[in-house]
Amino acid sequence: MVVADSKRMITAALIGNPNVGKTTLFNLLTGLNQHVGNWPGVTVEKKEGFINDNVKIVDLPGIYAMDTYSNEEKISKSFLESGDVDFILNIVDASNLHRNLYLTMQLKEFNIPIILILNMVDVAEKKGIKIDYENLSQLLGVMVVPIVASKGKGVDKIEELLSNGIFSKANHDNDIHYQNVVHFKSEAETYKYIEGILSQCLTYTSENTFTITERLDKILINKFLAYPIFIAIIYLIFQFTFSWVGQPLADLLDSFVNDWFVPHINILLSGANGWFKSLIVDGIIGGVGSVIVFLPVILALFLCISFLEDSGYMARVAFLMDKIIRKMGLSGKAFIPLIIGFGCNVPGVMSTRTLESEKDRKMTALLLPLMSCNARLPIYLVIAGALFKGHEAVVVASLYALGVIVAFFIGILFKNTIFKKDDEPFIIELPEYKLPELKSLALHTWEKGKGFLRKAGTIIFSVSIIVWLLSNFNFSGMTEIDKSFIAGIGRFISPVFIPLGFASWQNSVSLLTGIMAKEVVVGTMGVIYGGNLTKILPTVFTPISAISFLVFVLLYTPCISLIATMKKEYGSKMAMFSVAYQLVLAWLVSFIVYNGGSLILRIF
Amino acid sequence: MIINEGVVMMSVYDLKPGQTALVSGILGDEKLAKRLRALGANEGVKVRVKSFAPLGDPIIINFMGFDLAIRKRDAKNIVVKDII
Amino acid sequence: MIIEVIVTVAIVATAVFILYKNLKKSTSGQCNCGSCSSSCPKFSAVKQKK
Repeated sequence: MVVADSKRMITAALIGNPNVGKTTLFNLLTGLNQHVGNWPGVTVEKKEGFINDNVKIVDLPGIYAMDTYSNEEKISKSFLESGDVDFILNIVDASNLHRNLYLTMQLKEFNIPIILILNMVDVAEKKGIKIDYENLSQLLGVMVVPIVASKGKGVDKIEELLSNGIFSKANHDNDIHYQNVVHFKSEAETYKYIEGILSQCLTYTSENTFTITERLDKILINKFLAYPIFIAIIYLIFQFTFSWVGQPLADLLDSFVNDWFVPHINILLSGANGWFKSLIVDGIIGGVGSVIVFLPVILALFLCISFLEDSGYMARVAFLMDKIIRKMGLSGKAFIPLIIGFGCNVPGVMSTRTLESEKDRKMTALLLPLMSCNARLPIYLVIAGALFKGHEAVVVASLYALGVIVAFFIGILFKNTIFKKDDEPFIIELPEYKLPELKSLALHTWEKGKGFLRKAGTIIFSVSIIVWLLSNFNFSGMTEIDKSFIAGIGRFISPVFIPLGFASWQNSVSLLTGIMAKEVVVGTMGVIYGGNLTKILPTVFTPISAISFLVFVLLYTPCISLIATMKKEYGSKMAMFSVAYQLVLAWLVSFIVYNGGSLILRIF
Repeated sequence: MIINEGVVMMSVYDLKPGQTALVSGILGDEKLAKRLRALGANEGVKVRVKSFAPLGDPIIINFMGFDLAIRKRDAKNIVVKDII
Repeated sequence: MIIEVIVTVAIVATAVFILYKNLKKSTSGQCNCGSCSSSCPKFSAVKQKK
């Protein structure tokens, strides 16, 4: 038994089924005081948070059991066996105790004290289930705490238990944590045992038949309405992001930077040398500023995605898309890394680890970069904003869709050539719908904002300055931009892009620096085209060449982080193949778009 | 229908939406079988087919009080008896 | 003029340093998390609070 020394950090493992409010509770307990790392050896997320500087809570992956051979289970198991865990916070759905307690029974075998947290007791009550907590605690031999995480009810009780070092007290008098450890021979036997316990603790006051979830499902996965509704939801998200909230705010921020901030800096630097002013205004503000104005758009999009993720709709999307994704030869589980990929491809590739077959993993990893990640968004926006003002939402939506469509065909191609195989079995729980909590939405969105700003302050800042240097100097010292180092580099690459319609050296260099991180493309353009891109870009691109450029940006080699991750997870051969096939693909599709588009324009 | 050693068996796949039956066993892929059993699909448990996906596959089944999406191919492995 | 040169050198040095650190981080396969979805599996564990 752990004797909780008051100075010692207590470690608690938070564990439970998926969709029982684990993340909500974790956020409530630890607030902003958390950080994310990796489990040793595998790239599955490891989240840790702290309460009052003396309790560490480790958020384990959501699992249903300990022994059905998934990676998540292996991680949880080895962590519980590591000896670092002082106690287990087992969160369960009070309205579905039967299935939830199955994991609890397996957790008991680790001989670590368990606090059983019954979440959603209000839902259980509404369903007409009455729970005798006292009795349940006695029969299971664990401490029981009823809570409603979504309303923050009962959470203080957990905090109190944790910070008061209950374990030194529980230590001697009534050591209930080790009672009633039963070893079972089969799943059926375990369930029979659980049934036996629950029959003594649960009373049903009314038989509820038709829940909100069932009503919503009647509409949302209706035979005829499901896909139109899905498209409508996506449309709403794009409208929200690009027409109603995100883009207008970004425009405000943009005019603030260009009409207020830059003139003031100019006045401030009026006594300085021309080149120094250029470094500050063209280099730093031009580079970082042109990216940073898109912060509101990124935040708006994330707010929407977090909302969908928390609402329970994502599982329905996986359900609706399964048949389509299977045509590409992928298992339904591959849907999850692909969705993550829309945020950032890197964690997407990492999460392919959770897939079961080698072929599934490799194929998903290869298709992932075709999912348009958020880093590409500023490029779409700056170009669409300059050339297709008022139609940004359509342009961006088409690009996202194009990525998915290309992935679909490439998937079919790979399935029939490199990766021939059978379907994997696939099951997914359809959780009850719930209204996401403001607090967790705000927390997610804030995390994104912080990350974006960090990126702007580091890599975009640095590349902007280097680009400014390279664009103002050559071997003979300071020079015109047209004779600079960077123009030389650009001219060396640009012939490749002649058939694609955007072969200026500036564009070529921007694409090249974009390998560092995709947002850098905008930063670089800001520096070498000098500041106000909305005015300059229409003179550089025609509508067709702009689209061709955007298609190339969508499909070409992703950033250096992704290449490195690919190499780490799947070896250098895969990484090289990934880079090469995407370059070829991007060139080909852009070629078709540019030349096909020009041809059509000429005919009409 | 599955024919196993000459005996005709019903599976979840053979049920129509809205029909309920009792699980009598799970065949096929051991991993999937283990997972389903851990979720509570053990002998004698009521399983109900709720609906089909708009494209016909997968299907939604309900047992132990929660909804699960499963592909038809895998649903064939959940053997049932006594349609209610 | 002198001050300007010093400031410039300082800025450039910082930029190169940040870029170097970032490249090292990137090539070890980490994302910057500016664009990850609800979760970023891997940003360098910010110094653990005690």
